[in-house]
Amino acid sequence: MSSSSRILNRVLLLLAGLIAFVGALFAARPLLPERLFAPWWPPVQRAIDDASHAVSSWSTPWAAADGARIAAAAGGVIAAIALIAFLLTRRRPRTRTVLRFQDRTGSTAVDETIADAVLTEPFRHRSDVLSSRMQGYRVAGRTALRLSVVPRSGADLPALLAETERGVERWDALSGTRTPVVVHFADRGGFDRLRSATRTR
Amino acid sequence: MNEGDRVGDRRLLRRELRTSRATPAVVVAVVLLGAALGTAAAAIWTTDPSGASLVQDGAVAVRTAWEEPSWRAAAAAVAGIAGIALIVLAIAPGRRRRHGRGGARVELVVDDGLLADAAAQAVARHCALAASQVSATVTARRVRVRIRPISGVPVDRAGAADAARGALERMGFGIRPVVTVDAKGVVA
Repeated sequence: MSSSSRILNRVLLLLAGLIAFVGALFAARPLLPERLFAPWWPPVQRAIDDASHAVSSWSTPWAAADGARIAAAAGGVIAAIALIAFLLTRRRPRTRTVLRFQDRTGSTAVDETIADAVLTEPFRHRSDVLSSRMQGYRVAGRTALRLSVVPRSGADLPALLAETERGVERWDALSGTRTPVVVHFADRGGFDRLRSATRTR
Repeated sequence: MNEGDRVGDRRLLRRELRTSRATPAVVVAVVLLGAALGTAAAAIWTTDPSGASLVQDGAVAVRTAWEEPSWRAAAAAVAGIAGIALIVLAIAPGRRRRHGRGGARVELVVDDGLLADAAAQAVARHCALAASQVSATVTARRVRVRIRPISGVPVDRAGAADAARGALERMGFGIRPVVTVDAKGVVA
């Protein structure tokens, strides 16, 4: 999901919220004091009536149905198509290919398992790390790597960060590029909270 | 690293620190999709006389309920609450309980819980207290450290604040510590 897609999420929520709120005001109109609506409601009511009358009186030479039905059907179909397109673009932009080389003989794709092996391998032997994993994703037209590390309680975070940066340097040397990397030190969740601060073998 | 890469890296960091609102947006989109398809189907269906009478019966039932003030009030309340909730979701920044910073090579994101643990442990070490006697909570701009001292043993509050600040600065986060010491201590 791109950044503009993220803005679309909020635009849709805002539009739906405004529609619901206006609907609530419309439903509550007869139950609320008249003076709240008196200054502005009559022109709005007139505009709604005029639009409704205009659509109802509209007819087509090629169909027996009146204008309101055709407008409702067309509006519903257009809205449905737009919403389906919106839903299809909501997935997280995961990618398993973290690197691609191209030359005259063809292209070589590097799977994320290779980057995972390089970046998470140092953590597999550390007693102060509960788990670590790496994922590739596309953002702003670039592939980025996201390394998530769950440290044990009491772990030395600066030491873990230094270890991570050494791993990233190894990946840079191996790949010959500087792929953007996000390192996430994640809190322990669920049963991990109950684990002790020390690891026994 | 050029300016474009820096902007891209800042964007990466922002995505980690703010929620995307994808889940509520998908729920709203599915509800609206159902309503849009229902409207289109009803409009097409009513061109047939049998469908038109069924839709008309439904419309009469809805109109009867709409005339009832209690139903109308309930509908207005539900729509109003949903509307306000959706507007708040759309406008609120949606901060995740994390802190993040850019770096020379990697963008770092740390959950607030881990930063709180690091600050609490540093304070416990500095004050020679058990870890269970120090608790910490990290908010957007400060870390609140609460110390339950040993009865009769004074606590170096300024030193505790320095220890918490130092632990967070080692990770590159300049979060201001606020230290409170409980009036009642525990028996060693």
